[in-house]
Amino acid sequence: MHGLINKGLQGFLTDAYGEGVWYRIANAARLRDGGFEAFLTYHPRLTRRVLAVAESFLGKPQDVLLEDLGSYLVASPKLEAFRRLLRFGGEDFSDFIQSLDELPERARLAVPDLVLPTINIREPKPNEFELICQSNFSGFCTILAGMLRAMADDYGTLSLIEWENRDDGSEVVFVRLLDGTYFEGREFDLAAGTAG
Amino acid sequence: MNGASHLISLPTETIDRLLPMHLLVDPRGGVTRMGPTLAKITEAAGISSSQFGEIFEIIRPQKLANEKRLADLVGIRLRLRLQTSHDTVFQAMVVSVGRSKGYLIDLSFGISVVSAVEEHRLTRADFAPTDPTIEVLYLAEANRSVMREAQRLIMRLQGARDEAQVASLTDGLTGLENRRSVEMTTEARIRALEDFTLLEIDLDLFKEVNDTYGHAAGDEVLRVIAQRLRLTLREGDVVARVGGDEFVAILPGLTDPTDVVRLAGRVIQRIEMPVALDEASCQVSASIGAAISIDFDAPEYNAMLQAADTALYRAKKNGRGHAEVWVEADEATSDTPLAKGA
Repeated sequence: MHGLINKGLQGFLTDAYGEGVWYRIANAARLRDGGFEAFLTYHPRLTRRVLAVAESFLGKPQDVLLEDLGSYLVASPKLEAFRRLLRFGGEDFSDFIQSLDELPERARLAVPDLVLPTINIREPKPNEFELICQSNFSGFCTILAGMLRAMADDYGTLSLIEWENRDDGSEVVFVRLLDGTYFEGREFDLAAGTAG
Repeated sequence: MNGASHLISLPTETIDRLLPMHLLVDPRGGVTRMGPTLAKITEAAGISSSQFGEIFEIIRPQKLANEKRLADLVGIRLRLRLQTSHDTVFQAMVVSVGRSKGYLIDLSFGISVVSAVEEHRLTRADFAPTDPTIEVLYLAEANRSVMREAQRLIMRLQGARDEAQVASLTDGLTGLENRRSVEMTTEARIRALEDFTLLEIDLDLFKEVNDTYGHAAGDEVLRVIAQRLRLTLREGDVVARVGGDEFVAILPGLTDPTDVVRLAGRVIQRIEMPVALDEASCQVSASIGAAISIDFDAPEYNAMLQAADTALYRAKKNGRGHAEVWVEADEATSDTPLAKGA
């Protein structure tokens, strides 16, 4: 699993629960040098181990942690650059949802060795979407669901977001956009990221 | 589709949507219409003229820089900039829309798109939906973020390397420099053509401390002696622990044998002061051999260390607890331990 994702997990656990907690988790998971490097790739087993240790240390189910991780990746001021890159995906939230099948390609453009799962988009009814993830890392859709909740806020769109694991091993995120209920989202200025 | 030419006419609103940076110019060079994005940019640049040649300047191809006749620009890849603001550069192509109607000119930002978006505060709506400009901006920003992260990593590694370097030049027990470090310092002095004295300091009676009080006490004595050496020597002198109870000091600028012997004597005096241990007090002494760089035609660390060793041997032979300076006559002595091996 790519270091950037692992580093995101480390940032989330550190910022949400404190540096001390992170070091205890990293130690118990037998991480080298007390953390992840953004530019290295790690065996998925290591990420699983960190999650399992975090689950027992924090007494929170992994699903909850993964969903919180997804929201953190979008909403943390420390990861503003990442939020901006996501916002390039669409003009409004609906547009953004419908661009998610481009996510792996976008990721690869930014970081050539960053491999993200494929996402298939279905629109069974207007304003209702099913995002079907094919991933060898179970839980990806849970992270995605957390990210989408935060992105909906970011765009200022009210929506219902749920996820489920299907028997065939695929994971699905359901998104329902609630009509006509827009509020003020966060600003996105095309040029803001180029300064400095 | 089959090569036949079709004539299409489009409402100008449609052209605006597809080509938001186009111009329609009449046969005499007068601008009759501007796409909304280009209108926004020229208005902000304070342009009032409606003559193509007064709004834009041709920068490539250079030979067309003064070309006023649009007919001669048709079909050529042009690079333009505004007469009033030279920062934004456009790519342009002129096509004829009929002898009597004039020309359609389409512009784009080309490679300067990132700075253009910033300068003109452009938004997604300013670009045609089919235009990959948003993707270019995404890529530029992704690139910048990844680079920033890489720089952070490099800075962290640089810090770790500096720490490792300090550790590799320090004697862990006493905090003095180590053999490698003093060798590097000496060679730097020699390269800089500076004169200096090299002292080799060998503790006497140290083995007895180890045997009587144990190695922990021995280590404590070494730490105390190291501290005394630091305090006795001058600022700018370098002192290193190069072996179990062996030290080397480099004393820049000190070249008079009398001064060297006097300083070495003071060092020995300090070393001989009792060292308080947990339950006892002990005492060691030292012998010192010195080599002065001006006594060598081409000073060199190993040769000077060997010379200091020869002088040290003489000092020990003449009764411990004092210092000797190497002199050329020592070369002839054949019974020094190092001379045997040399």
